[in-house]
Amino acid sequence: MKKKIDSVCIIDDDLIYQFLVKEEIEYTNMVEKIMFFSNGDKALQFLKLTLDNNDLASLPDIIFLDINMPVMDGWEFLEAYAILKPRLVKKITIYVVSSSTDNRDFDRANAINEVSDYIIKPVSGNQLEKIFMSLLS
Amino acid sequence: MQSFFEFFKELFKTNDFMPRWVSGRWTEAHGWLYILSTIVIGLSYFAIPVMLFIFIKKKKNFPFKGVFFLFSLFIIFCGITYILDAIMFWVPIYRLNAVLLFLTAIISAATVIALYKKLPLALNLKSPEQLQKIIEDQTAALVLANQKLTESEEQFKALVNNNPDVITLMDAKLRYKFVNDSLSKLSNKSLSSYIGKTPCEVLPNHPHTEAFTSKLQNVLENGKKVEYEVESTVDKIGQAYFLVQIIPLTNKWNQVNEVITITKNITPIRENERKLQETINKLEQFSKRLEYKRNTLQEFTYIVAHNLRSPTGNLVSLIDLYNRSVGAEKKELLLSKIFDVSQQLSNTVHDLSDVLNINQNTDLKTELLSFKTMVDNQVKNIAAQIMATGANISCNFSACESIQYPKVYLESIILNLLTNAIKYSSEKQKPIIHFNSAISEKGKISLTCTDNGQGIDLIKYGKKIFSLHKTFHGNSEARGVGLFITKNQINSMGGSITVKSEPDKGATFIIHFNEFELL
Repeated sequence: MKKKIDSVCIIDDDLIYQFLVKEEIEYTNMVEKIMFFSNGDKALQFLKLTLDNNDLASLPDIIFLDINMPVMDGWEFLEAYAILKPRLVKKITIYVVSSSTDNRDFDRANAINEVSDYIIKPVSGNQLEKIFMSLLS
Repeated sequence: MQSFFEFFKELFKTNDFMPRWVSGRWTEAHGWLYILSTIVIGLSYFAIPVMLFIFIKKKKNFPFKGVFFLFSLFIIFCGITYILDAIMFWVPIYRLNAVLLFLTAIISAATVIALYKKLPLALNLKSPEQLQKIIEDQTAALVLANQKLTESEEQFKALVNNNPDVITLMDAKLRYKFVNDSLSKLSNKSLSSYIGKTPCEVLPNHPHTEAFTSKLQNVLENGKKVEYEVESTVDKIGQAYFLVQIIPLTNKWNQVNEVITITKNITPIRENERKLQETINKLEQFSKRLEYKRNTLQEFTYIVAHNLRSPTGNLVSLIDLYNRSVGAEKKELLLSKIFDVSQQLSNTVHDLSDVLNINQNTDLKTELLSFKTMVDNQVKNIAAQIMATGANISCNFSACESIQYPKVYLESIILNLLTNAIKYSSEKQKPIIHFNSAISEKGKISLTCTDNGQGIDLIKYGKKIFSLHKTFHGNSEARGVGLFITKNQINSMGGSITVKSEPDKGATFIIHFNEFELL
């Protein structure tokens, strides 16, 4: 069993949320590196660049993806990601994280293969710990 | 042969015989009885053909005229033989008598043959009684037929007259031959005054007469049925809608020699159609309004989830973290974050309450506002911004100069369109912004604002552009409130706002101010 997760990626435009998640993840002490992107497009550009450079080590293990963001929202990111996926050698686990309690959003997220689960904000330290544990085991 | 000629030479010779008086012993009485009787018989025989002649002359088309002629001849010759019989008391012309008897014999034989030939025909002739009977029977049948004809004519008339449609029959010169009673429900004139006249003669000044006559003429010429609807004014019911049918009637040579017109009053149908359409329109308005309400509600659910739940969750987490953390520096940082979030929440609540006010204030006071003045005022308001960007602002309100609208809303709408156009102007060129107005036939007013800015990818963002806190350009200044407020203001007044745009090709916002009625 690995001790720590190498890299976690947060895609969310809410700076406060970014700050809070960073605090909680650091508190679990189970993650080596945290990356932040304020919208889907920026994250996608990063993934493409990493692949182009063949820098597989920099690819994240987990992506926490918000739905509502400017420029490219969570759904659009997932569409673009599905196209990119065949090129990704590494297994990336994606969680959709949203404050929307709308069942339609929930169903839509679950219908997408790439999405592991749908988490409703706010995310607690305990939830994060469970996710990391399951991935490490 | 010799003796034959001798006979005729001596036809009138009398010396071979003795007068009757002296042959035999005639008494005076006996002789005269004989003589007078034969004379009366002879004269009577002469009278009979005269009578027959008069009879035949009077009875035209009398059959067997030839037989009657022979019979008359026979009677005349009989008469002559009787007269000769009388003469021979004094003059014994026995030879002549024999010849006359011979002629009479021939004629009588011919008459018998003729009669015999005509007998079957004569037997077929009806007796006056028989004829009388036949006439009586036929008269009775005729009376019955007449009665039936009258009955069927009555029925037909009742049918035509009780038909609510106006039915007329016209001859080839377009003169009325018949009009049914229903015409009296429309016209003040007596129905008989129509007969024998053309529509032009009956109603020379009616606006529909000329068109009606030309349509009638067409049907006469083409022999094809015509049907059309017309709005017309008539004496008794005023303005009304009619369905007019003109039907050609042809004679046995296939020429149109008469036309039937059937005029149906379709005003009630039209009225119902109008009411139905009105109801449909109202329902459409209602459903538009409902759709708008539903959208608004959905929007608010969304806003509650994203713009309220999210910062509230952040706030709770921050406070939790604050309580858990040690060290003054960390606490200070968290406190500043808490302040930011509470500020953000307060702003959102403020924006939302603005919008809620808009949606509740549907009975806002409206006034007549000049588009030109309104745009000029807002241009002055942000003069500094315009100067800084070198924006060129033009407008053309010639199509519709003003609108009845709440002043605050129109100010806010124009300001938002202006500031958006400047805020999202292209980096490559100076902003050119153009306003113009339009008004539809139905009096629906629209305002269009076109710019040459960055534009928006509507395929991606089309649905979200007017939503709260949606920004599309990664512009840190953007709060995503302006268009949301604008849309709510327009919607609350029964209008709509749409946008046409492509990235790098500018944007055109179109506002339809009064698309549906306020409920």
